[in-house]
Amino acid sequence: MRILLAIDDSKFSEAAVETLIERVRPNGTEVRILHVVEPPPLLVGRQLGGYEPALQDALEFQKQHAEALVAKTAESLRVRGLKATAALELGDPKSKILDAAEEWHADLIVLGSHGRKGLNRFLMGGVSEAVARHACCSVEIVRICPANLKN
Amino acid sequence: MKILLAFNGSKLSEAALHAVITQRRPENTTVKVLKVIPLDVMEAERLQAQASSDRTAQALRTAALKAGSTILRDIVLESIVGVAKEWDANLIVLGWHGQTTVKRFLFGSVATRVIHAASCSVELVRFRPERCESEACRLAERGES
Repeated sequence: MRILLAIDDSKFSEAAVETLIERVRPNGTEVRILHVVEPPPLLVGRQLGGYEPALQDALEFQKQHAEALVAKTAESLRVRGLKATAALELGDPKSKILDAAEEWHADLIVLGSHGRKGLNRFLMGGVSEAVARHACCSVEIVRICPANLKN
Repeated sequence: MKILLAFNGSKLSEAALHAVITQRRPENTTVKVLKVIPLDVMEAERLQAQASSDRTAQALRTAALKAGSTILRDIVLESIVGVAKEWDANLIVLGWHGQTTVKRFLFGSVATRVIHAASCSVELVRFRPERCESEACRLAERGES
């Protein structure tokens, strides 16, 4: 079974990772951890001909942070005897997650219910909804809820 | 752990069943198989629904899980979310209807609303026959035909 675990650095993703570690049978399961770095929108300006070193630096910083995040998550899965690989993509999270699932022939995508930013922290995230709607495989949306906290 | 398994369509019951049993579940896991049928269905159809959810529950018990089945004649969305809340479920496993474009569209909206309205985790299961190869699934399939 192939499970694509899409994460960001929110507590919702942490819950998804925890759920996965508890539930997956190590034998025959492969987990791919994916984090998508969303470039700052102003970077488009650079593509149009301008150049902004500060934005470039910000993106580099974001990438380093992301690399550390996926590496740490992959390690925590490997410690529990799971086969895990980590991947980092740059672009729009929804389409990158869907593409990765299709290319890798994932059986299941696991992701947290909410995103990291603004309103998405309170409403269900647009990414989770889009992935649930358009994925060609099963999708599990992990929620932090009273019933799950009890366990 | 409490898992609510809701599905429409017999193929989806196999896929959902497969999704529940391929993962490791805690020892005291209970599964409630919920089949929601519209208010206007014929008696024969209701019996068929009852049979398919009983079979799914039976297959879950074969896989050493505690399982019971329920049939509800109600509005799909409200029932699934309502039962999950009332029963304090940890996870809803939802069989995803996607055979035709129209059905995909229609059930798609129900599924999307369930993931919004539910207060617990939701797994949307899509039917992929080539992935459904475990023993319990084969048993369920034989019972089906």
